[in-house]
Amino acid sequence: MSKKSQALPVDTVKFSSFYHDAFLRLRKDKVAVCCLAFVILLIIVAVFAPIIAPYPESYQDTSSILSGSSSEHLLGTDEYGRDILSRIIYGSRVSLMVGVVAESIAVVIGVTMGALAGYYGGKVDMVISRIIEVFASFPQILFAIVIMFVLGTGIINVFFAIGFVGWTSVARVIRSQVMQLKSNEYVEAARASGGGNLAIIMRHLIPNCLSTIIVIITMEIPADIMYEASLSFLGLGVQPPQSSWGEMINKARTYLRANPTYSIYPGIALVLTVLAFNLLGDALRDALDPKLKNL
Amino acid sequence: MTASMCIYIDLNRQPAGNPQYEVTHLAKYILNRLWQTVIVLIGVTLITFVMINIAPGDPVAVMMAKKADEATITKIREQMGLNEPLPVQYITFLKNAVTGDFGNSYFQKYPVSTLIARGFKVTGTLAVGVLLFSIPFGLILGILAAIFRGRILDRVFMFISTLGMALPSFWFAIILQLIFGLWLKVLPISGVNTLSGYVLPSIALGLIYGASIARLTRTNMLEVLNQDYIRTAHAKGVSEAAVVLRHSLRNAAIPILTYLGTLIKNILGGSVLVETVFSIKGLGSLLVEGIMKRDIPVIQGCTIYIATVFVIANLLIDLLYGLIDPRIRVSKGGA
Amino acid sequence: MSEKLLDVKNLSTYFYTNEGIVYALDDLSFSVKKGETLGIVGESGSGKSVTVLSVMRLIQSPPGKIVSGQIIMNGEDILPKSKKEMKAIRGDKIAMIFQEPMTALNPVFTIGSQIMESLRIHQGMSKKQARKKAIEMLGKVGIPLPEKRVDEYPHQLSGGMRQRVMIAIALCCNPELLICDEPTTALDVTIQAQILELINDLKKEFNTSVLMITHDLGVVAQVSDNVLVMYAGKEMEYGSVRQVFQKPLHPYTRALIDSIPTVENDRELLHVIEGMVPSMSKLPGGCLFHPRCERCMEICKAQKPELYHFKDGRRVRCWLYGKEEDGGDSDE
Repeated sequence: MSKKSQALPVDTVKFSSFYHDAFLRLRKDKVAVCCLAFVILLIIVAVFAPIIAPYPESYQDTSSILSGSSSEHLLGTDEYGRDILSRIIYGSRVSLMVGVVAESIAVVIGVTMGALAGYYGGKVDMVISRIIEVFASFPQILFAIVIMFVLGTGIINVFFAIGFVGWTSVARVIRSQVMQLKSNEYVEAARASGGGNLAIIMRHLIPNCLSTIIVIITMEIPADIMYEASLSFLGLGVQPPQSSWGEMINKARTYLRANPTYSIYPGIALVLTVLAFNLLGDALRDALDPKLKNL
Repeated sequence: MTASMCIYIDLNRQPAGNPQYEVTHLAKYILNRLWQTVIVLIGVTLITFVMINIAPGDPVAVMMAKKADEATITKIREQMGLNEPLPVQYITFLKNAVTGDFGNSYFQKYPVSTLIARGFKVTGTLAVGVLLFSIPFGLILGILAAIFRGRILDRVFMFISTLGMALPSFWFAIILQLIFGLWLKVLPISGVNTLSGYVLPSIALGLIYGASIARLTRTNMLEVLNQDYIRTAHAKGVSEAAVVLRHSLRNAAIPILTYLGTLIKNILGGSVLVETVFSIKGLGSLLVEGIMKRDIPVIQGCTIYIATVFVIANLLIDLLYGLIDPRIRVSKGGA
Repeated sequence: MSEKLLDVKNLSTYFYTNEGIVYALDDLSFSVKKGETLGIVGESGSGKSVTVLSVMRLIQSPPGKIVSGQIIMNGEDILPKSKKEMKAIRGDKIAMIFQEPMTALNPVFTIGSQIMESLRIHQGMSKKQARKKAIEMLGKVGIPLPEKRVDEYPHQLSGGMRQRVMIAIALCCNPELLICDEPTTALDVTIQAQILELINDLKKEFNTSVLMITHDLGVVAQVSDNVLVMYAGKEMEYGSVRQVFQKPLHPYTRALIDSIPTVENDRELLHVIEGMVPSMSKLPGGCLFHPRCERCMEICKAQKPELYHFKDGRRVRCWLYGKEEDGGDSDE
């Protein structure tokens, strides 16, 4: 499988061949490739939204309100005459941003807490584990809602709320990984050559959790996107005229009889996005480390 | 499911190994869990208290809707004990919380505990409905998928499962409303005046969680079906049905039981969205309304109540787990 | 001369995998007489386990399939029998014990209930009767204080005890044939001896024939009357234990016997058979053993030897034999 050049030093070959093998395995999975393509497409749509969307986000075409599909408005219009398709396209920005930003916050907090708990063990572990348990005993949505109460509404606060709610899953997994890894010999070697604890954690343990972290991120992003949609659905997240899929579905409820597709299309976008990330996460996990099947 | 999952709750039976050691083993396990639970609950109250007090805005001013002047506000704050130092406030809060007293709602004319009780009746019924739908749905799909592994049935069921896990509950609820309420007109789409009002909301959440259960069941069943003791059962001449229902299911169900805790937590959370869609006045909507109106006692009460329900449910499940799995229940004594 | 209890004729079992067809068993024939213990010997991958799983019709299909042959039990071919009929036979007429006692018992049921299950399925006993019999069986297999231990769980017993329980389960319905698939491989040597002795004693008491699968020639010597040597899915040699051990005919058999480490020998190096068991999907041409055979001849590389029957009942599949001077004739 590895037609690597013989001139490469040994550890470089090992490192790149692990991810190379994983990449080859991923490539074989047709479903995974489709999902990856979809995600990339989504990113492109989000980034180039102003160019791709047929209408600007808040443009109101007062001549057609709550209309169904037509040649001018492929997916119809909402109660202000705004083009649904365009709003869905702009909505993808919110979803992806939440995925990236909120998850980054969660990963930073989670990896720190998890690594500390796993590495130091003992009292530190006990305290951190209890904290994790306390945070994890609130249903995520409700916790996020309460945090929004504390912080106030708006997209930035949504990032924090979701990140703050999601770090516990990351922390749990990193903790058990670090606990497994710290008994490895290279940790002892590092300690013997005078490495401080912090250096060991940062330089040796965390990089070895990299594949786990990648898998977790891919599996948590769809959950984060769902939370954002739920928060916006409840009116606590993105505020109009900014468009978010959840917020659109909420507004659409009032007009269910008049224009049922208004509520259907944003939901389909949401389902496809979450599905794509879910399947991609599964495939990544299988490719990087089938032993993680219990995640 | 219950018939084949015979639970041996038999603490009176004469244990076969060293009796003293066995009793203490189980007792230790229980005490440990109880102790953990207490700590977590204290943590829950602490976090809630901290969050509420960080929130901007003076609750009394909110409550009075800015109709009162400074002096009155100060007096009321004094009355409500809001001028005490925070740690003292916390202790008072904790004491009250233990007895279930969260004060009165700012906006509704009832004590918070009454409102929570009312809301819990509704949400609790919804939770039962969700469990009634999701567990059989998930188990059947998962078991069949495992038995017919690799064949078309397996793929179809797992596709349904994956799809189900990606559905937003609030959106799916709306779709159900559209199909069954507006087009087919067979089920009510708002309110729970009759029991049938619970059907659509239960399916909305139940299908989604059932999808996760199906996946989990399939994985566990496959693992169990590969075990040596299943081959032994076949070699004894046990029928296929008995192998699946009696020998495999009990072993596969144990991990699913631990998922039950997460399931309850998800139901408590997911109910917020579904209750909103179907205009049901449950615990979730109580909390959301409280947040919209900044009704602090309600927010506090709901948050702590919901977290407590989850923590206690988890405790009960862990204890049940210890009773079902003989490897935990009975110590490793004997030769 | 007692009659044949089990007569396997031309049994072939193949596995159809993504990498090709695995010829696990090819045209195998053997028989077990009433009261006899037949030992089937071979290295890992020789097909011995597949043989008994085929007899029990426990082969997973897909990907496995019993392609041809007859399995005649008491004069009746059980191969065409329906699943329902086989269920009645398994555990009742033919019983089997497996290699890993640690995992062969269901962890969530008591050992008593696992014995009782067999009794209630095949002999229609009531719970009370079955429990009584279960305690009796536990006593017979040498478990002390059976009335107490009948309610214990597998994890509370040691490996040797669990294997005894497995034997109890297998023998409780008085089967005519007991198949033992490497029953002692996972056990300590001392326990091994005990278990084998137990099987021997119970065999006499229950009047059961035994089919003993093992890779360990020592086990064969201890319990078997006759021995069948298998290699890569085919029979290589057959004879009574005495005959085969005193004068092994096939080079493979000879090499197996030679490679048993003995205390008396001055030899410094262990005698090893060169090479490895071939992958079942890529079998060598000619005699299957020829790449590893010390006495390989030109004809061995080119043609497959037939099974040669001696007048005294011995059989061997090797080009070294088969001439009329030996006093026998070829088969097939």
